[in-house]
Amino acid sequence: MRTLFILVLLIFLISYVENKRVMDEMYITFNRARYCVRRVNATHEIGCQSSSRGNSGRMHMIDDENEFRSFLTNKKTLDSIGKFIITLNIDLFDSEHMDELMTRLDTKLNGLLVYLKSNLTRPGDFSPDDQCPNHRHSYYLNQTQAVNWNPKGNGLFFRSFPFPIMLIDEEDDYKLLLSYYQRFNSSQSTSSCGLELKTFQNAAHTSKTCMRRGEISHSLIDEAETLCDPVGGLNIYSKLPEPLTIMPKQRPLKSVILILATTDSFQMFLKANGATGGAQQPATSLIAFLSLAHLMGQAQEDLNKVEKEIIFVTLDGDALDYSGSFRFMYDMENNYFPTDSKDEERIRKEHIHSVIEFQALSFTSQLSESNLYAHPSNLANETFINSLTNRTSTIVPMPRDAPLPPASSQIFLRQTSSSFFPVYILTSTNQSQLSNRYYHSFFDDPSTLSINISSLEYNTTTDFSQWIKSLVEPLAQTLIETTTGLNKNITIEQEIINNLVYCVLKNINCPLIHNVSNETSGSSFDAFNQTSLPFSVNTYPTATTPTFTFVRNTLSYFLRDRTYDALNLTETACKEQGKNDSFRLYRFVGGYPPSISTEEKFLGYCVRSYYRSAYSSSPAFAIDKYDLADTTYPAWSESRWSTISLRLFIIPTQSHEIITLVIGILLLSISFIAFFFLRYFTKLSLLQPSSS
Amino acid sequence: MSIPKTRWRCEQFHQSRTNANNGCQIINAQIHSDYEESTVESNKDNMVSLEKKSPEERLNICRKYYLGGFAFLPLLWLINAIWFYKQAFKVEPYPQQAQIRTYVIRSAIGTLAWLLIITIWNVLFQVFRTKMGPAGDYLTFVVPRGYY
Repeated sequence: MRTLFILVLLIFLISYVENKRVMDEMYITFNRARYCVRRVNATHEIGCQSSSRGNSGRMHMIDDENEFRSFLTNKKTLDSIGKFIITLNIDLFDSEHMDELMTRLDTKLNGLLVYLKSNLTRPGDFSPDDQCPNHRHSYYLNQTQAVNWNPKGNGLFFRSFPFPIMLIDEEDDYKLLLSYYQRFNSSQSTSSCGLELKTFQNAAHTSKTCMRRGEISHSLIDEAETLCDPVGGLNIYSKLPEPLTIMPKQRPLKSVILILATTDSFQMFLKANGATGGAQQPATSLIAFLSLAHLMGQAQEDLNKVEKEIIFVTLDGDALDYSGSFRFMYDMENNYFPTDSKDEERIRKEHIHSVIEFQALSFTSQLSESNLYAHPSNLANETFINSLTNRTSTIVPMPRDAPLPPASSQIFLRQTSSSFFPVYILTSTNQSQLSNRYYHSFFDDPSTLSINISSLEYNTTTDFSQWIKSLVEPLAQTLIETTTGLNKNITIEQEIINNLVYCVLKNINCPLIHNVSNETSGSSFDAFNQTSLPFSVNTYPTATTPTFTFVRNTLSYFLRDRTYDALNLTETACKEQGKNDSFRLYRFVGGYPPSISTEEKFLGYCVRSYYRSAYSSSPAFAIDKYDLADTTYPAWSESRWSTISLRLFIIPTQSHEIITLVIGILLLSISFIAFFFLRYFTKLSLLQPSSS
Repeated sequence: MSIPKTRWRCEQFHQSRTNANNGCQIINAQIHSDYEESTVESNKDNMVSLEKKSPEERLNICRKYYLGGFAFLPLLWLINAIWFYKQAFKVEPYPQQAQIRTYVIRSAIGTLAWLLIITIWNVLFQVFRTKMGPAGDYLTFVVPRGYY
């Protein structure tokens, strides 16, 4: 009876006790923090590294210049505390402040947490890229005076830090951090806040060391563990399905026009499932690129009659030393462009008529013009430039032999000694400065394009999309005039550009992509619902990014053979067609209404298109027995990592710690004494040493 | 001066079980002076005691350890030198002691040589691991992550 009562009481008590882990009570975790990772190239390592158990230290918040000065001169605090985690306002995150902090604190600086107070108080410009981006492999390597295209760049992305750097950009996270700091770091109590940053990266030293270590395994049971992945994704090219130069037919010289855009960017602070930036570069250029592709597709009938080909190429990996462009030129030199076609006549540099590139386009309220650079001046076609600039006032020609902005075309010129074809770069610069104030940072989001992203719908016409229309239409008309000689007043429906803007900048899981994809590839976008197209460093093996599927489906649809729109083929008939034609891609999709050229509506459409893709990792990783320490080609790799965490905890006062220790020792000794007594003065056989 | 553990345990066991024959055997515990080890033997103890072995057996063990050490096993030499030190130098002479003495001396020299080799290699590897290039990485058993 008594035991039953005790049992019931125990059950009662247990059910009321909440089971919490002590660890959850000790730490406050910040799950939405951005982190800085390690990347390596042929000669250096860049980025941040923490210890495998995390870097912890006492938190100290520096909000403005005055606090910064007083902190650095406060000898008492600096000497009394062993390790610091400095919490720095993002306005103070530049190279001067970082250098001062690092020299003054030296090894005491165990980590850095940068914070953004709110989205409304963004810094006016923030770019961790160099002042002269991609100058390591640029066309102007021997230039005595480099042009600083990105004057506000602080270059911190390319520096190596021995401690972790993380960034919190959510307003609630900042408020929480501040409340704890103010509560515990006030002068009354000496207990303080501590932070632990864990961003352990596997890569070290250079690409060569990292790749080599990734293949070493002396163990009989464990496999070698890859430490870093080479940077690279896919170079995609597409053109109108006709004409096609199949051997033994010869391709005439100077008959190919290349249209270029890039699909990648980088940012110093990454976030899993977060905004990646890249709205001004490369999203705007990509939207203009795809709109131009649609216009070329509309003019299919006229373009089919001439021997010239207009090939649309997207390059991946160009943000880091033009890896994609180097690979593209390497493929071209080695008769690997176009890929996968046994009987198709290869394109070499003699066949290229010109290169037109969309690079770093931006549309701001102050600047609505884009500049046209042409190089070299002896090869540039003046008629082309004049007819283009005469058609519209939004494209302004740059003077002859003006220095080129950072662009993939620079590598095209470099590898061909700029003696084969001219390049035309359409970019937004403002007197030798890129107009993008957030170049290669996560702040580069649609708000910089004067787009109110929260109210953007699938078919909203914005100033931005109207500007894109005013940019690509004259270009398309000039291109058609150059290739066919006809003067066509070709236009694109505003709806198509609106849809592209929505898909790329707001929600990639949009009706457009589902209309141009079949079911399997269309369902891969459901995982990215309500996220914009990510623009980040892509690695090979490719991480799950929807970018390449998006470009493939959209580009091949826009450049499809429009005569198939009226044929009403079934899915099986479409597949049958594909069996006879090995050069082209045949897909059966739902059909994108604004782009359908016929009056009738069918349940599905057979899309006949020309599509090729090739790996875009640097030739350094493709050439057999290439020494990765060689700087001929860029050799960027991104490190692998496992857990990233940011935690806040309270560091107790000195006296608190001493009392805890003393109590602990006391308890230990008491338990020893108690057990000793129990053992010798009772008859409980449990406590006696066994004799078996 | 304390009662050997085995005997105490057996007495406790006797007290709790009155009728059983526990098979607990206690051989007379001889409490010797500091220099001599106690020779309490019970069915639980496996320590080899050199006192109990004949001199030929001792020489045999010493030789086995000496020869075994040549198979890149310096610890055998170390044990040999330490264990047989007393036998070689501190005990009254017996015919095999001269041979045991040579073995012990050679084992000691061997141990020192190995110690030197291992220390030098350890220092060299730690200093030159990163400067050796690929060789340093291929010699490392557990490849370091995150650091050069």
